[in-house]
Amino acid sequence: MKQRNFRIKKYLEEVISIKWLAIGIVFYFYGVMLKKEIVKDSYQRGIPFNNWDITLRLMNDMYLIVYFIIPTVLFFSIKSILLDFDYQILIRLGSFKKWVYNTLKHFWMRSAPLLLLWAFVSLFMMIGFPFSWDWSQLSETKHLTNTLDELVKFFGTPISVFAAQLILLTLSVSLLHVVLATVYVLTKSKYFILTMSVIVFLGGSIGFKILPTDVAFLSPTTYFSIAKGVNTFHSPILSYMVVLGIGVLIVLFLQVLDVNKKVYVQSIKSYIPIGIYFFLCVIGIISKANSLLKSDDATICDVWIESFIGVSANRFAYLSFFFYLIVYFGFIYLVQLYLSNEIEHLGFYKMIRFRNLNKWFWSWMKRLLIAIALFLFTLMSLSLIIAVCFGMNTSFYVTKLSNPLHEVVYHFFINGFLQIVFYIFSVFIVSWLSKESIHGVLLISIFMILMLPGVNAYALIPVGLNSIVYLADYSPYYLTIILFVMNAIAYCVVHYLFKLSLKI
Amino acid sequence: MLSNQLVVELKRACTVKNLLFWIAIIVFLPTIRFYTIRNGYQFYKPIEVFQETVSTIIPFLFPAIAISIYLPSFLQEKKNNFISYTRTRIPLSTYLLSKGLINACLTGLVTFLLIFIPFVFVVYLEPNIGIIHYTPIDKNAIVPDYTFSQLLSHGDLIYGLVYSLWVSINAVVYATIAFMLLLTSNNPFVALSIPFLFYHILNFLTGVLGVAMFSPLSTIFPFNIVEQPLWTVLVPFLLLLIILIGLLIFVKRNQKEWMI
Repeated sequence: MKQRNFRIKKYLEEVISIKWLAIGIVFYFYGVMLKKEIVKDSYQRGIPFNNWDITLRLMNDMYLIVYFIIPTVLFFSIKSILLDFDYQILIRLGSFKKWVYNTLKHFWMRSAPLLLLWAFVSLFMMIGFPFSWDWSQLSETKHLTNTLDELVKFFGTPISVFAAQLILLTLSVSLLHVVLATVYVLTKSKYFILTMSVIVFLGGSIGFKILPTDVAFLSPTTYFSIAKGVNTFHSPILSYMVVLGIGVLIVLFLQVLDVNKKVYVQSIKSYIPIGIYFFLCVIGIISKANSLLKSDDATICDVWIESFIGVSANRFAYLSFFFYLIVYFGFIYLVQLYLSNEIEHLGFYKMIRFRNLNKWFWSWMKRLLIAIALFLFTLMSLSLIIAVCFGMNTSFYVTKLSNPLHEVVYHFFINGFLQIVFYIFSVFIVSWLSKESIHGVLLISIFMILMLPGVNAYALIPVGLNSIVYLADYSPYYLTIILFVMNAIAYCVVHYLFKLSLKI
Repeated sequence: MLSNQLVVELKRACTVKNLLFWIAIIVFLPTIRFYTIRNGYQFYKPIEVFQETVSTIIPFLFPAIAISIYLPSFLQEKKNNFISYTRTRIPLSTYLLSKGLINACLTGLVTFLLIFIPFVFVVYLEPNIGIIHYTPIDKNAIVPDYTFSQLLSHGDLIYGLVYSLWVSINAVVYATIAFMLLLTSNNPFVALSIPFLFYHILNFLTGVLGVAMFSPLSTIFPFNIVEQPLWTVLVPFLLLLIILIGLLIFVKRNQKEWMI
């Protein structure tokens, strides 16, 4: 009991130190300055003001937050982390996860006075101002120095804003500290977290001035002030959602903080490219589905068609073009990743085993052919499922194209299959000739250029012919013939190369 | 020692095959585009012709150009275990530093010339030859402005120089990232193609998010979107710089794990 009293006494002594006095004075003088500004404004415009003007403006002032609160919080946070990261404490706590929570507690013990003082001075500043529980007319009017006019639309009473701001601050400051502490556990580098805090500070101070409102969500300062949050998101909820969302992710990550992740990373390493690839595909389809939400009669087939619409010589759109590149050339890139291993490393041994280049070729080509078919089915089902999730009309007809659905399906599967097979043939020919898989990347770049507007005017170059937009100008059967002929030529070239080859 | 090695590397890089390849890039890519646009477009000023000449083909080949100017030869040295044998006559770090510097310089030079030579040709030489028919400027004429057109007020030459420099700096950063990745990654194909993937995936992502002004394509070759403030071009560039610096630190710290 005695010891506890002693601790409390010591803590109180620390709290009522010269440091807090100095910080209090900064708040006080800043508040006085704001007060003068409010009085001047209200006098010039002839609009009455009340106590909440000064309290809320002081709590939401961006200059104060950017140049004073954030540096101070970062200082306390880094100080707590560096002081607490002690091996004896770590042994006592037993895990890094517990240490992060422990340091959060210590950090709040150190910096709680800062927030309390700030809130106190904000309330204290209302002395001399007319008192009311409601919004003043000055807060409601829109002018240059007023930061509160957006808030009036969402909050009934000013005191709720005060509480909301305190909660938001507590959440974001805790999040900041937990992120820094986690990063410190992971890197154990003082310079790394110092650099991070410098980035947060500079990002905040540059961000809140330069970034336009559309991209202001990138600036960390947005999440320290409810007024700024409302100006950015046009809703007070989103600031909390973002902070809580990141917070939940961090808490989930803390659960595995102590696990040795190297083993798991090694085991999933080979799936990372495929994971990223499918993630990008899903993003593309979602964005298309999202853009189709505006039209009422869009069906799930429309989402599928619009996603894989691609480009032709006469009909070109950058976004469709980029998505085509990601989907089909991304797939070819993954195939190349597989081929580079097959040709450069395993090739010779396997060829010896199969005793015949053709047999060796078909040994992996067969698997790739099945993969292509599965891939096309996956793409279609993914887009249909996403479309259903977006609540599109679940009937099977097309509104975006004049062609009947069976033609589109034929085009997507048969021509898509032939087109991808042609890509694989050409990538294989290039890798076989040059023995340097990087030339495949050059080949993909050249394919991209062949798809640009005006190049492939008569659909004779077999690149990008599986774009659904081709159906607007060509019959799918004509495209099949072109692709079939080109594939036959490509296969003959492969065959010829194998005959020519004296490599085994 | 380093300067000596730089001279050696430069001599080694300037083979007839390489020189022909670089000249082919510099001459053919703009020429093909110039040839296709000489008819059928309405031009008021030579600058427009230049902007049209360096758009479409070069932007889509850009990351591939950046990684194919010097790095294939380095890849060959790495694959054939040549570098290990140079250690008897030169410290490994000096050797690699000289390789990195030559890679940056040559990539920078070639991409600079790739933009600057068409600029000089189109803006200063072509009006005297008269291949392009210019429509006289009247009050209905709208000369489109793109990002960097802000610099035109300082004169055409400044615009050409600054813009060519901007493209070449970007190419240097892409090439250097690929070079560092070659040092650390055990799969050279992935290492070389990461800048390429970065470029195209970011183009797609910025397009999806509706912030095309920050896409690598539209910041390096801003001829497909309307004029943006100059600071927007720094956004993807800063991201690249952060990646580059991170890689530099990582490579420096893990010298033992270099895949040489």
